[in-house]
Amino acid sequence: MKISVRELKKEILLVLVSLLLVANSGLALQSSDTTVQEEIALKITAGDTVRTLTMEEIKKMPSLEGWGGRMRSTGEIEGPFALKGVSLIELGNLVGGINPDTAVKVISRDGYAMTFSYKQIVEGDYITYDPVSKQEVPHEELQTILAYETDGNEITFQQGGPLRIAILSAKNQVTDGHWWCKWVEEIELVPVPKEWTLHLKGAIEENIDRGTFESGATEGCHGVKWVDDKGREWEGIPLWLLVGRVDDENPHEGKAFNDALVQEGYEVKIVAVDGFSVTLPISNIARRNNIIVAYQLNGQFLPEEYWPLRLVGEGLTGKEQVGQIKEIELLFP
Amino acid sequence: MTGKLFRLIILNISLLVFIPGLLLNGYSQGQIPVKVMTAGSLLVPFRAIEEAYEETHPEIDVLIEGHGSIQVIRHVTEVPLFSGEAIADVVAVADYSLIPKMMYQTLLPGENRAYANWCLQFATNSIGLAYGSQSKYAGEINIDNWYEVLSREEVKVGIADPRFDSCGYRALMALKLAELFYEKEDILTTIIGDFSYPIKVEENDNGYTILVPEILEPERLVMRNSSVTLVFPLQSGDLDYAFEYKSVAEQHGLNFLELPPEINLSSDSYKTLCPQIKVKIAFKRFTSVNPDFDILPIIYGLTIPANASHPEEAVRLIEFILSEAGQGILQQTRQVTIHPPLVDNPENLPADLIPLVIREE
Repeated sequence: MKISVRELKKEILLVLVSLLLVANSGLALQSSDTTVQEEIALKITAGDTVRTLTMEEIKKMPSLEGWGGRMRSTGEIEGPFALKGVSLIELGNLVGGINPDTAVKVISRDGYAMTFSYKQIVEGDYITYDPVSKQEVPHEELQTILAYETDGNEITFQQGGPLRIAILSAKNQVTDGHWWCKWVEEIELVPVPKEWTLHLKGAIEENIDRGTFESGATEGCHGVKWVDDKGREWEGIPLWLLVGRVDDENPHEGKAFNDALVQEGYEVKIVAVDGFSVTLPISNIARRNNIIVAYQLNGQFLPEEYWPLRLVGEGLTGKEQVGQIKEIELLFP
Repeated sequence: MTGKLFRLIILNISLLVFIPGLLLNGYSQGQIPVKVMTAGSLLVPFRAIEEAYEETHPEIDVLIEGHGSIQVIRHVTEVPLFSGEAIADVVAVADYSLIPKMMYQTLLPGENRAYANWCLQFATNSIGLAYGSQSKYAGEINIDNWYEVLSREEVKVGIADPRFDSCGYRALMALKLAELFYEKEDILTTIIGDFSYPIKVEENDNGYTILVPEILEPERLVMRNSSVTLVFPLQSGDLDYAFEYKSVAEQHGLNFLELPPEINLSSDSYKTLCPQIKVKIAFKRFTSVNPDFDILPIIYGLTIPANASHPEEAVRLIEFILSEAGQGILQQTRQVTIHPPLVDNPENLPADLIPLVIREE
C-alpha cells in the first residue's frame, strides 16, 4: 500500500492526537487521584471524641521539617529523605492530648495498623541506625510526624502517600521501617493502662496483677458497684472477698472466706504506696458487699491521686478511704 | 479509509498497552519477569538461585522481594488490590501453615477460586543461639549451660520482635520449652527480663499460652524488628547472643549453638515435652490476620498464586529450585531442604511438579 506525503502527515497528526489522548487519559487519572487526595479526611479519635481533617487543614497546622530514613526488615536501607509533616503530638492535642497511659494506634487504608507508645511519640524512644554499617547509633531528639511532603513534593501513592508516618532524625541515621506506616487514614488514641500488683498477705500470700483483678471485678464474677453521696459510681471487688483469698490455706475454692475466723477476730490493714495505712476490724468488713476495693470511677480507671485502687464504701470515713493501695495485710491475734 | 482506521485502532491499542507497561515495569525489554515474594530468612539462598537461574535462562528476569512471611502473603492477597502492584509469581514463607491459613480461605475478587490451593513444604530450619567470637563467655557456653550464661546481668541478649517476626515468637516458645526440658521454672522470665507491659504465660489443660502485649518496651532484652537485622549488632559486638535461625546465622558467618531437638523446633520433638504452646499477640498488625500462633516445626512453604502473572515460568523456576542444581545452591547457602518436598493437595499441583514431590501423610 502506497501512502502519499499528505496522507502520512495526516497519519502522523492522528498519531500525535492519539498520544495526546493517551497522555490526557493519564493526566485525567492522575487528576482524579489528586481529587481523591484532597477529599481524604484524616480521622482522629480518642474515646467518643472524633475529629476529621482534610489535607488542606492538615497542611495549615504547624509543621515540622527534617530528615528521615528507614531500615527494612530485610536490612535494606531506604532514604534518607527530606520530610515535612505534622507532629503526632500536635494531632493528638486535637482530641485531648497524649498522656503516659495512652498509646497511639495508626491505621492505614490497606488494613495495616501500628501502635506507638507514649515514650515513642513524646520522648522519641526509637532505635536509630547508621545507614551504612547498619549498627545502632545514639541519637538526639526524634520526632514522629504524619508526613505529607518528601523532598519538596507531595508524597505519591506509590511512596505511601498522601499521608504516611515518618520519624525525623539526624540526616545520617535511619529507623526501623515498620514504624513508617503508609497510606494513613486514621489515628486513634487508645488507653493502655499501666501494670500494677496488689499484694495480699495473711495465712498465705498472693500477688494479684491488674489483669487478674479486672477479670475478677467483672459483673457476674465478683464485681460490684457502689455509689457515694456525691453520686459517683465506684466499681471493684468487695474487700471481704479479697481477704478470703488469704485468710486461710484455701484461696478460692468453695467457701474461700472463713467465717469461723471472723468470730475469733482479726484486723485488716490496708497499705498505700507511700506507706500510709488504715486498720479495720474484720467484723466491720465481713460479708459486706458495700465496702469495696475500687479500680474504676464512673466507668474510667481511677485518677492519679487514687490509682490504681481505692477503698470506698458505706460508713467509711474520709481517712479510711485509702487510695493508691498496694497491699492488704491480715493481722491475726 | 477502513485500512487507515484499522491501523489507527491497532496503534492506539498498542500505545495503551505498551506505554503504561514500559512505565510500570523496570525489567529489561524482552525478558519475562518472574516475581518471587519471599521471607527475609530466604533472601540469601533465593538470590543465589536467581543468579544461577538467570545465567541459564537469559529470557527470564527473576525479581526477588523480601518481607516478613505474613507481609509476603498480604502482598499477594491484599496489597495489590489496593496499590496496583504486580502480582507475585512465586510465594515462599518461613511458616508453611500461613499459606493454607491466609490463601486457601481467601477468594480472588469476583471469582470462586482461592488465591492458592496447594503448598510445598520444601525447607526447614532450627532456632538456636547466634553469637560472635567476641561475645561474652563464648568459650564457655554450651548446650547444658546456655540459659545460665544468658541470665548473667552483663550478657546482652537479643530476639526478633515477636509482634513482627516469626523468629521472635518462636524464640519465646523455645524458652518455654527450655523450662520444661531443663526442669527450671524461670528460664523464660529471667532471660527476657522486665517489660513496661509484661509478657505473661498462662498454663492450661493442653499446655501454655504466652501473652504478648500490644506495646513491648523491654528493660533488659534487646529487640530488633526481624531475624535478619539481629545479625548486625551480633557482628559488631553490640549484642552477645541472639535467638536466630540456624541458616541466617551461618549465612552471615556467626557461631551457632544448636539447642536440643526438643527445643529447637526443627521437628515435632517438642511434643515429648508439651503438646501445645500458643503465642497470642495483643497487637493486631493486620485487620485480616488473627495474631495467634500455635507451635509447629519450622517448615518453609512455597506456592504459585492462582493469579500469578507468569505461572508457566513460575513452574520452571520451582523445577529448578527442586533440581539437583537448585538443591545444591540451597545447601551451599546453608538452607536445609526437605527433599523431595511434601505437598498437601497433589491434585491441585501443576502437572510438571507432580513427579518432583511426595504427598504429605
